[in-house]
Amino acid sequence: MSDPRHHSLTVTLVVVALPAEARPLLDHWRLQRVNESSAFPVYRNREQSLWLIVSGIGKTNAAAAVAHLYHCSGAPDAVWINTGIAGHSTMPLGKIFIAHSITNSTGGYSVYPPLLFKLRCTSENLLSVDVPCDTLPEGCAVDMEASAFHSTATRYSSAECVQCLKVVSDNADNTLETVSAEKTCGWMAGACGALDDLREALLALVQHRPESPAAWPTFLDEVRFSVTQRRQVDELLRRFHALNGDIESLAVELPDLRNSRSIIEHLRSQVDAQSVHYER
Amino acid sequence: MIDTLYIERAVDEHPRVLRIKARFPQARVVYCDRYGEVFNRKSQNFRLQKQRPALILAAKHGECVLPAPAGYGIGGAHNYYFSHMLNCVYDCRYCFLQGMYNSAHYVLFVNYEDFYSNIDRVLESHGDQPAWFFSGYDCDSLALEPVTSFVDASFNFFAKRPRAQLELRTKSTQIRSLLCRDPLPNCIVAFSLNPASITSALEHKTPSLEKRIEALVALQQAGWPIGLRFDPLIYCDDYRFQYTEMFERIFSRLDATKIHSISLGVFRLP
Repeated sequence: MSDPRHHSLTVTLVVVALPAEARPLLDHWRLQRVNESSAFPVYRNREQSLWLIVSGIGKTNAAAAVAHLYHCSGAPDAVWINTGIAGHSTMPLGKIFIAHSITNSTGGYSVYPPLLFKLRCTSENLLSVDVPCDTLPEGCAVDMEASAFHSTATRYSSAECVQCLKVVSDNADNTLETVSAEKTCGWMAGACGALDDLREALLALVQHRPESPAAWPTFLDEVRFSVTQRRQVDELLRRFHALNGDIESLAVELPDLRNSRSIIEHLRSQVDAQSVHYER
Repeated sequence: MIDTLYIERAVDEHPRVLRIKARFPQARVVYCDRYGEVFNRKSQNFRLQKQRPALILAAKHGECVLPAPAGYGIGGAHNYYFSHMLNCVYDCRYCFLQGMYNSAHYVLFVNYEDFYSNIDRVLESHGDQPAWFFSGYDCDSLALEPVTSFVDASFNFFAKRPRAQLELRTKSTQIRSLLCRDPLPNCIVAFSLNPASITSALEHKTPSLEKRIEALVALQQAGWPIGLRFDPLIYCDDYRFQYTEMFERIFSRLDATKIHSISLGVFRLP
């Protein structure tokens, strides 16, 4: 388990279903197998800023893999990408798209990943089914993981940072039976550029994510707080940040205070004593 | 400006939706059943979405006109507010919209006629007495007017109902649709104002105080009833100096005898 606080804002977590989908990405991003993982094959780059897991086919596998990758990487606010092949009745083979809606065929509910960036690829509705379709529906692409991926990953990160980018592998003229591992590798190799663009866009997006002023300073790590106290500290840090623009000045005084109650009292007295200043 | 349009399927053929779609031909169009599927989802980050909000086109169901919160009026006995939009193009740090909704996307309710029907019902309930209707509680009344045309579409309705007093509360200088027509005596254009230093520090993406004063001057000269809303009053160390300077700037430019109303407001939470 890595320390999430050191790199959580820059970590990308990628979920694919098949080894053939993973192979070109492992080469492209130079990912190495993480040895300790046994439940799912997990890979990461040397900087530990990019992780990939091979989930296997289906929603249950996808949901479990997301949870497993989250715990392996220890990255609470990472950007998440589900990629792989999908069917589409009219799109040509190899066409890359990002999902602007994801519908779970079981229950029929839809989610709408906020697309707060511009990409060169098109966007499309994506239907996640439980079993492969004999006939592809019109007006949407079809896969078997995205809805479970999305609903699980958004427990760990905000919806803006959870996206699905897929490549068309079969259509009305080319049935699922024609899909091979070799072809899949080829399509995914063709998607590497789009995945880089997406990753770059997501990482640029989260640069603007307001860092929680209560992003616990490391000097508070060793202090034991109850849940209630932790909330109080969160709130006080937020207020201190609003008044001062940062919480760095706290580092000078707080490390000397080891007791949770004294820290909260000190923080509260600091915040209450300050008046509002506006630059002219 | 708008990259993504979410559209409720039920309003896809609505004339206002068609016009807005034509205005943003490059926008990605995504259909949904109800706007809440997009807008109300958990796990959304308001601040991230605020970087590039989408526009959701929907129909408002249920009550469109609600009693105004205590203290929101300007002296009238019967005060109501309505929100043809949710969320605002501006980013005022004190605004309760910062935490009101899960999403920063703009929602536009295109069924304006239902708002008018509700207003008529409220008017009827008050007999011969006037009633006040405040726009700009959950959005800025004018900031997206070039897209929504709500004010433009509502003139005829209010022109025929002199008992209905409309306040358009705004920080926007999008006043073209007002200046190109005769003023309505029962439509007050009310600008929210704060000292320039507070505006630049807290009222992000809004027109400057000077621009707002220019808009007020233009509206007053065109004969529109104007209102000044010092709302919310913001305390700071040198507030006496800051507010005095602002008052001097405003009242040296406007004809004080022709100001419809002036009000003070406090910081509000939803």
